Amino acid sequence: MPRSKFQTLTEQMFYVLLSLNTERSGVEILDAVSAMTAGRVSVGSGTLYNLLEQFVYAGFIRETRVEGRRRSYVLTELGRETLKNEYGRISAQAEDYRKIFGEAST
Amino acid sequence: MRDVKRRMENYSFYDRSGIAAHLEAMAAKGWQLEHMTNLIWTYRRSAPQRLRYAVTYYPGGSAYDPEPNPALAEFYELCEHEGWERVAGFAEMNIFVNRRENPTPLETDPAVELGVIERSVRRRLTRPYWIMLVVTALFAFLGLGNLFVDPVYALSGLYSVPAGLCLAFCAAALAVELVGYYRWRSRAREAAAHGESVETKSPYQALRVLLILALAALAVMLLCMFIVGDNYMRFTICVILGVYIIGSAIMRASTKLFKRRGSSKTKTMVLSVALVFAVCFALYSAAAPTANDLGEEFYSAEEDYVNSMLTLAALVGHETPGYMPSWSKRESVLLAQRSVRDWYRESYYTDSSENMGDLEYTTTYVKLPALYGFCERTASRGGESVDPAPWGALRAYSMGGGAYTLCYDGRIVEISLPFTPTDEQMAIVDEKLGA
Repeated sequence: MPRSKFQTLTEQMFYVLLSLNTERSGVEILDAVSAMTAGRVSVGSGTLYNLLEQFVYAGFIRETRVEGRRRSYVLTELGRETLKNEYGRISAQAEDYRKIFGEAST
Repeated sequence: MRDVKRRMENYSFYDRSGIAAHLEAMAAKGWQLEHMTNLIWTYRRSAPQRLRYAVTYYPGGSAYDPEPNPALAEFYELCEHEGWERVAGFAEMNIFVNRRENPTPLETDPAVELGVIERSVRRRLTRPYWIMLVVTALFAFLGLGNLFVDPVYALSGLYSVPAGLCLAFCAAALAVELVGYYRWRSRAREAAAHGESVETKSPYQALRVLLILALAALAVMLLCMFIVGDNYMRFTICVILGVYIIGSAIMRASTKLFKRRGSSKTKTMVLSVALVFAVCFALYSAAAPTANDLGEEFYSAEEDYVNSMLTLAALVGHETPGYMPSWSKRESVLLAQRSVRDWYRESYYTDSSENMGDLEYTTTYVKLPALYGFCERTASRGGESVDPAPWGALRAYSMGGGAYTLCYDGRIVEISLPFTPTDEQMAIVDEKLGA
């Protein structure tokens, strides 16, 4: 998977990576994202499976354990860096918004 | 009352929306999908229910993967967590059902889903379909092209026109599939860039019509082969069809068995193919002696024709050392043609040999009287009407360069002689070819 594909992350990619700040299995990621966003963001099982595969390939996460059908993953340094870049991008957007509309309008 | 229903479904491989909608409609009517191959889907009767179906793709999937596929164990677990149960699948395609009221969709990121579909479709559809399109279009062109170049020759052949039609319909179906996919992909890529998804819609009706037409052309060809062909041909068709049906059944059964036993993809594929090969070989071997006997019958029937055919020796009234005739036969339900060429061959050269030029003729037997005028016009185009009486014909045309078209009752002879024939030689032609 070309790295350039993940230069910007979709909301679902962002939360999947964010949830892997601590080691989690796929099912735990589904629940974690839903809890983290109070149900605002839901990741489909098919989407999560493919994202995990692509993130492992891109080196953003690594597999830590396999227990039966369950595999656990955790963020790598590269994944952390990618998240940080995305955070910077979103923050810059938020800052630009504030410059135009001011703090009160948020 | 039947509890199981099998239907031929020709949804496009990538048509995830169409397939899901169809399965939801079937479930609402009380038929739930139980099993599928690439063409035949099996449904089981149940109480009518409102179910949600979803289709996903796994680019590494194969029709020989074990069931359940251990490579997808994690995926199945994720799906089950959201209430999605896998009901069936074929190769890269997996079909899930959900009994919950408002489940989270299986795919929630259009860009990720599109990437997966594109990789699966490239392997399952576009690459093989492009190759098949080129091959079927080429053979359809070869089969039907003669209709425009030499229609009488084409119509007197047993296979070329119906096989050409069958292949042309197949090529059209492949083209419809490819165009449909590329059009959807273009829209889906644009929408995915904005985080949106585009519904798929396979050209179901067009594909169904083309498939039926292709099968009809194939059926006509087989029927004609049965009507016109000799016992050898009929027996050969039966053997090929029988071996195909038995081989397919064994392939399906052995693949199913190995998959359920959890065998690896390679083991399932190799063992199934080896088993089918062994059975087919045994069946062909068992049929070979009968086929040989029927082949002998064919050649003894041909011997009568060979003994009675017109040769250069018969025309010149003496032996023609170095000459050896070759002949061919074509026959359809409309026309039949026999072509003979008596020609000088260097390999048969002896001191007394003399190359006098070649004698060639084609006799077209018109089985459908309505075609006689068309065949005559085609064979005499550009010719000059001459006296038919010496030839004993109804009409005769000189085509130039020693070539003549002779019209007899129910048959047309196109003959090319290496010399200007005498009245006596014309009478011999009448006796051999016109009578």
